[in-house]
Amino acid sequence: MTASEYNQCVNDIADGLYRFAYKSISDEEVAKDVVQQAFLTLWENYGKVTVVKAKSYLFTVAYRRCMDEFRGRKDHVRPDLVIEHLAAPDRTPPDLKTVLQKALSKLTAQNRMLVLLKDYEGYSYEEIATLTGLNAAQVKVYLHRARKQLKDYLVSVRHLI
Amino acid sequence: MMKLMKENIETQIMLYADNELSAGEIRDLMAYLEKYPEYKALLSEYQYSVLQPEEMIFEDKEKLFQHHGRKAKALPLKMTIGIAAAIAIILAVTGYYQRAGNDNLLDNAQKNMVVRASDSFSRKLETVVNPDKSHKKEDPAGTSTAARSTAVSQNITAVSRSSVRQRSDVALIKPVTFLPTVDITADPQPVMILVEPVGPAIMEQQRQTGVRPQARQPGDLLAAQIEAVYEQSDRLKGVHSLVTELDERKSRAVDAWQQIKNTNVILKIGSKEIVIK
Repeated sequence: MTASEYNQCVNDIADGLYRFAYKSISDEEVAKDVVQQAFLTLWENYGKVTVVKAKSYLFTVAYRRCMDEFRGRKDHVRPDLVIEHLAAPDRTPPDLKTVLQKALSKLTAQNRMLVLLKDYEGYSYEEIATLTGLNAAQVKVYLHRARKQLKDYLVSVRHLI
Repeated sequence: MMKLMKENIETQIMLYADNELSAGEIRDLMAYLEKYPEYKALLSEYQYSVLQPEEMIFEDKEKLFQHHGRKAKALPLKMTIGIAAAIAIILAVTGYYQRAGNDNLLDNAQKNMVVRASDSFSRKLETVVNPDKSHKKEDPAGTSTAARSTAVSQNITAVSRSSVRQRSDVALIKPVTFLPTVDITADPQPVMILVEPVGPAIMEQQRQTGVRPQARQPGDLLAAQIEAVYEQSDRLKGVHSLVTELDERKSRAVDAWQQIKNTNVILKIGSKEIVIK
C-alpha cells in the first residue's frame, strides 16, 4: 500500500470507522482515539496490508480496541435487562430511529458491535467472523439473539405508545 | 436446503432480514409466508429492527493523512502519557544524582517548611510546599523578607529535585526537551511539573517556527511550558473539568510569571503542584 492509497483509505473509511466506534462505545473522544489507533496501526503495517484488505483490517483493530475499552469499563449490559423502563414513554411518540438507537444501547457490547458491522457495514456472517475472531456459528447465534432483542424492544415500545 | 416449518421460520426470517439467504431460499420463504400469512407481521418486525444508514463525519481526517512518505505519527494520548511518565522517571533519577551532594542539607529544610516568596505573591498564588507542616525551621525569627526569599529559592529548587525520588505520588516533567504530558486525570495524585525558564519572546518564536526552543536567560521564566501543558489539555476535550482546571492553571501561571521573575516556587492549585524554577 502506498501513501496515496493509505490516504484514500482515510477518505473512504474513516467516517464509517468513526461511526462504528462511536456507536459502539458512545464516547466521542474515545471513538476518535480508536480511529486514530486503527489508522496508525494500518500505517505501521502498510507493507503487509493490501488496499482490498484495508477496511476489514481497520475494523478488526477498531473492534479489538472497543472490546478492550469495554473490558476496562466493565459496563456490559445484561441481556435480561434489555426490556426495561418502557412504562413512561414520551408524550410525543419516538421515531423508529430513536427507538432503535435506544434498543441498540441496551445490547451487550459485543452484540451491539456485531449488529453495527452487519447493518451499517453490510458484512456477511463469515466476514464478521473473520474480523472479530469468532466463528461463523457464534456470529449467527449472537446476531440472532441481538436481532430478537431489538425486535422485542420495538414491539414493546409500539404496544406502549 | 432447509425445509421450512413452524419451528425454524423465525430463524429463516432473521436470516432474510440479515440478507443471508440465497435466491432459492428467499423464494421458499416467500412461498411459505403466502401460505401462512400470520408470519408476515414477524417479518416486518425483524425488518424494522435493521439499522438504517446514518451518516457520521470524522472531522480529524487531516491528522491521519500521510503527506511525505512514511513518518512517525502522533501517538494516541494514553500511549503518550505512558512514554512521558517513563521519561519523567528517568529525568527525576538523573536530577537526583546531580543534586545528591546537597540532599542531606536540603531534605532537612524540606521536611518542615512552608514557603512564601513574598506576602503578596503567596496570597495570590498559594505558593506552598508541604502545606501540612509547620514552618518553624524555615522561618526563624528576625529573618528579613529578602533573605527569606533567597533561602526559599534555594530550598525549593532542592526540594523539587530531591523530593521527586522520595515521593511516589509525584511525576517530574522537564518540558524543555519534550512536550510535557502528564496523567493529570489520575486524581488525587498530585502532578509536579518542573518548568524551565522560557520567556514571551521565545514563546513567540516557538509559535512561528513550531520548534520548542531552549531557555536563554535564567531569569526569563516559564510560560511556554505552561502553554504547552495547556495545549496538551486540548487533546483531552472529553475531560471538561480538567480543561477548566488547566485553563485556570494557565491563567494563574502566566500571572505568576509577571510577578515572580527569578523566584523559584512550587505553584499549588488544587491537588496539583507546578514547580516553577
